[in-house]
Amino acid sequence: MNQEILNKIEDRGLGIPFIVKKDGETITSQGGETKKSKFSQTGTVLFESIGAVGGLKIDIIEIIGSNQSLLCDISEEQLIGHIYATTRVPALDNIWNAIKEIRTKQKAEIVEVEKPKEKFAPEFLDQLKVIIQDYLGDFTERIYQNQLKVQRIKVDELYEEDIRRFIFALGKAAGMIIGPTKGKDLTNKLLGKLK
Amino acid sequence: MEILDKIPGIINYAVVNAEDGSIEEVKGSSTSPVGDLTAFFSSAAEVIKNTLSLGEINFVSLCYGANRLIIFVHSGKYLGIEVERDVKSLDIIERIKTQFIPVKAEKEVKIEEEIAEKLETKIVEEKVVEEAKPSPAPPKVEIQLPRSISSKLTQINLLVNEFGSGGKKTHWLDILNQGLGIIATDVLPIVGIIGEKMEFKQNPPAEKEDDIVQILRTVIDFLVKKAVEEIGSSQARVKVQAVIEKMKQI
Repeated sequence: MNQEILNKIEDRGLGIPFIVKKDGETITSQGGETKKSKFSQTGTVLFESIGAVGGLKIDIIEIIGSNQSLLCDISEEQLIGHIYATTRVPALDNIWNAIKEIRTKQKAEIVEVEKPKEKFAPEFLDQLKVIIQDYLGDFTERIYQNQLKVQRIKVDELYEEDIRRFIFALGKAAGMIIGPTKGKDLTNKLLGKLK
Repeated sequence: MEILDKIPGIINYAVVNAEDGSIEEVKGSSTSPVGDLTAFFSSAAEVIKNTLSLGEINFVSLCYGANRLIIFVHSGKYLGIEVERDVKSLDIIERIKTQFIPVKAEKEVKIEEEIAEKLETKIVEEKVVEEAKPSPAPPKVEIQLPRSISSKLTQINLLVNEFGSGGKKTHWLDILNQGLGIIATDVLPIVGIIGEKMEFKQNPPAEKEDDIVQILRTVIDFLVKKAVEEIGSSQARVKVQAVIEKMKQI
């Protein structure tokens, strides 16, 4: 199914799309078959670099070269890449739409096979805020809102991985005010709420 | 790279040696590891450039959270520039390059003047001066802060001076940077530590005046809290009092 979508996108003349999964599996359109191993290497290099910096959710990587450019949409399990001639920058919106299309089709397939992820109610964050208040007092609201913004947390699209990311960032920021030990303590208490 | 401190929109920046990948400088207030990001991804881009035959790299852009890191080569160094996510990479690169032009031109003037001296010919000297005239610097924006903001800003700078007296200024500037990174994220693109002072790099939007005052007030609370932890409450109170006295004289 993936290959079909990629072929259709390639037919639009926007460049070559590919998908590299974290376990190394690589899928590309027909025109990209000869470069499959190169796409796979690219995926490995990017996943390793992301792993090396750790703790940061990098979701887009662009490398703009003088001849060709690479656009990657990155998620936990895979990257969707698209290689295109740099002169095609004006078509970037179309390339983005193509990537979104791949993602949407994949999501639909995954939902069919896998159990959907548990979604948290926005009120869950209020419970976290009560705990934060005990540690940060008057600083609570500002630090809380800033970290929501910095981590791009969507309160109405709240999943465990987002909450975890938010908690770790919050604990780190809190540590700068109340010291690293108390910051870690806060992190653990907040994580406890997830269990 | 002090020139980067003054450019509005830049939250953080890192300079990485393009030869050996060592991080030479990291500056700014955000909590992202821009030094490591610049070093790792400039080297990753070099590998990918060759693997996929991309040609010479114009720039690399990474998005994470609310921010974007743009990496490009300038004078044999990789610059990693952290901006807000919705900032266009090419716009900021262009802005930075235009800021560097006058500096480069000054350097060229010196080199060419040296050559002229060696040749010891008046004609050559005149020609060099004429040709090497630096391009005009971009118009400087005059920063006009509302009184409410400027007084909080003054207070912050005086507190850093007071707490940092006795050779601890750098330490207190680091603390200020930390505070800005977690408290002042909304204004990070327009403020920065320039020289040894916190300053605004552009005029703040009028409709955000109250918010900004509130942010600066929280930064002040943060500094005082840190001072109490480091020097005890009575010493901190004395220093805060000294700042209040100085504020009265302004």
